[in-house]
Amino acid sequence: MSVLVVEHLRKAFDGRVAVDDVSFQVDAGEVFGLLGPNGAGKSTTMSMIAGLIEPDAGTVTLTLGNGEVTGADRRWLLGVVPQDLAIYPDLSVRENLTFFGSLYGLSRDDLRERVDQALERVGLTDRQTSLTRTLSGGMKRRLNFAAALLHDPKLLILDEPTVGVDPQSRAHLMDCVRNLSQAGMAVIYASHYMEEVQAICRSAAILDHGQVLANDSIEGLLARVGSRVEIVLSRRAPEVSGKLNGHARYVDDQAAPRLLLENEQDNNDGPIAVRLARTLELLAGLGVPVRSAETQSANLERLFLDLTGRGLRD
Amino acid sequence: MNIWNIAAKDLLLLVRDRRALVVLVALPLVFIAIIGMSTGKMLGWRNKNETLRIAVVDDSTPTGDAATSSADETASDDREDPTVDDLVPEILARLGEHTGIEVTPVDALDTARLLMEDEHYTAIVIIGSRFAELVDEMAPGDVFNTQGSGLASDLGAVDISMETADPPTNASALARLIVHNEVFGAVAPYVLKKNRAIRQAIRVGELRQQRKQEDESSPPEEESDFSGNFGSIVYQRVVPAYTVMFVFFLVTLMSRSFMTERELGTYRRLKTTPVSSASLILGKVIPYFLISLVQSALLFICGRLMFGMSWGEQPWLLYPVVFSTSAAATGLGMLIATVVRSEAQVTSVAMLVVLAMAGVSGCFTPRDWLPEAMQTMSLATPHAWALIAYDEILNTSRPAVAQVWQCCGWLWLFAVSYFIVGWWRFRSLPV
Repeated sequence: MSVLVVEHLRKAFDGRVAVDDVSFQVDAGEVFGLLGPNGAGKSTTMSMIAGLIEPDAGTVTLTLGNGEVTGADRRWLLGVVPQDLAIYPDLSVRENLTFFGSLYGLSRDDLRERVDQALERVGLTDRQTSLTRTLSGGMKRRLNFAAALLHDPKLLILDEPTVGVDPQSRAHLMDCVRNLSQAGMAVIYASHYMEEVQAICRSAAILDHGQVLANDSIEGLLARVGSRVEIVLSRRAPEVSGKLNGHARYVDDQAAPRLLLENEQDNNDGPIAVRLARTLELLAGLGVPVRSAETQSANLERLFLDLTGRGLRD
Repeated sequence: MNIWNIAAKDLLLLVRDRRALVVLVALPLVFIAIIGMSTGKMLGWRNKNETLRIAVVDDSTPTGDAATSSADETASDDREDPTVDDLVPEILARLGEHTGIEVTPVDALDTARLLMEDEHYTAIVIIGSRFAELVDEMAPGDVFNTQGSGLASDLGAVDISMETADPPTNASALARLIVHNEVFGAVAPYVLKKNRAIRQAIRVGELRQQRKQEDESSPPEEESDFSGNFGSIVYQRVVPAYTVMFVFFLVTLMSRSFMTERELGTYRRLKTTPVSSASLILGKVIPYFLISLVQSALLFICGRLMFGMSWGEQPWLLYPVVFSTSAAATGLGMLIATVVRSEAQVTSVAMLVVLAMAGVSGCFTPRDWLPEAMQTMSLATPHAWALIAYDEILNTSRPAVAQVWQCCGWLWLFAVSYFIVGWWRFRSLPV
């Protein structure tokens, strides 16, 4: 069942369109990825979902049970982890969590219990009395994350939660997200780290210049890009080009001369493994030595490259 | 409920911010102490350089009369009037009653001159040997004759002369004026009472005044506890002036707090929680209001304990003024907080506003010293109304309560106006 339905969102700032006709939905227990480079419109989209800014057009519908939740009441259902740290450096870890938890009207005992749970969840129990300013960057990120969980939100919005985080904290945070989704929480995970989205999201939308370029399950998105094999030749061999019979493509640009075999859906020349074998036979027959061969599996980075002609981090 | 959660959080942050506490409490105390020391009033210590020191050489010859020497023989009542021999001690007593005047009887003129040279005495009063004789010979007309050598124009009429430092200074002129006034005040009634009609008229007036006081059963007007304490008088003005100025210093701290909230991203985060704008604003304003109340109370307590200042005849009037001033200061703080956009602007804009308002209103110099135009102009600042109220409470023996309430009314008008504009601006701040 969908917790969040976003339909035809649009937002412009001073005539510049930041979000244009963005639609998607997120189910309970689903981690939904918003993938795109910086400036793609992810944060603006999430700000509209969080009610921080009003959309120029479109709707954001939050559902609890069978009822739609509107207006300021939506804030009770949302947990927002902002991209930048939004915690008080001169409060202790526990004081930060207690303060943010207290804003949701929890009783003192309930609040204490939830703070304890949150500390344990993000692995900061041992540092609960430390002033936040004394924590490492990764610990601050974890605290930033924990502060959004105290009221047990139905929809958790994570905006680039792992930026500047050490690998250990990153793994910890991603485990937390998985556990939360397994417990039934809907999560929007915005990132420009495609490997993170690919690793923990069930579905994702790829945004660029405020528009959704693709919106599908992760499997569906990956199916749009095929595997690829690149055979780097030891010398230029233009004579190969005419004898490949569509099994591969000869490329001789500024990089080394190479042959590319791509497993695209519309390629009817047979499985890539068969074509690879035939190509290697051809090269051996022509006496063209092979320097190296590299296989590239399908991933969201390549999908973005295919969709936009540039890399996610460009 | 969220108001108090936010207020408690900000109060905790404020208490942990030692810089803020220094600015709000320690700094004004230091300033007050410095002003006190520079004016010689610290802990009741009195700077002799600011005292008019007068040496009195009494060469007059007592007559030895026990009764009014030459009073009208027909004048009789049961009241003992002073004799001419009582006049010199009375003159010395009258001079000594003046705050800021130190009278030293000296045996010889040479000794007095040495005092003037070495000890910086302001003046020497020489009461000549013919003093008693001339006073006895003086008729009422001689007292008020300002054309010739009457007492009204010349102390020589009763054989009193004065020497002052050369060249003449304001202090020596003041000493001459005061001595003349007190000699006249002592001698004139004595001379006038020689005339029976005048004597009776004076007596009737005195009796009427006495009965009036008895009828009203009003207790004799008590001297305020600061009236005789010259050492604390400076603080009656310095403490409230610096209290007002530093209460408004919280404008910078409030601005910084609001801006830090935005810079940290916590403002944005708070906007995603069920906290309403009203709770957010009030939660952030209340701690500063409380802190400013504590700050004012501390400064007045320290003013009393450390500097011996008085809280006036009706100290309870301080409460509404402190309360109203703090409200105006926090209102201004909120307004400025919505105007500044950076740390640099907090330092420049907020400080400029605070210092300019303090300067214009009379926090640096007594309001009485300001030109009339500036005094009028300063009424556009809450500082001025606070200072007027404090002056009324602290420096008058019977404070006009209505005036104090009027000042409080103006302060609240400022507070509400600042709040409304600040609130409006706050709601339109970008998230």
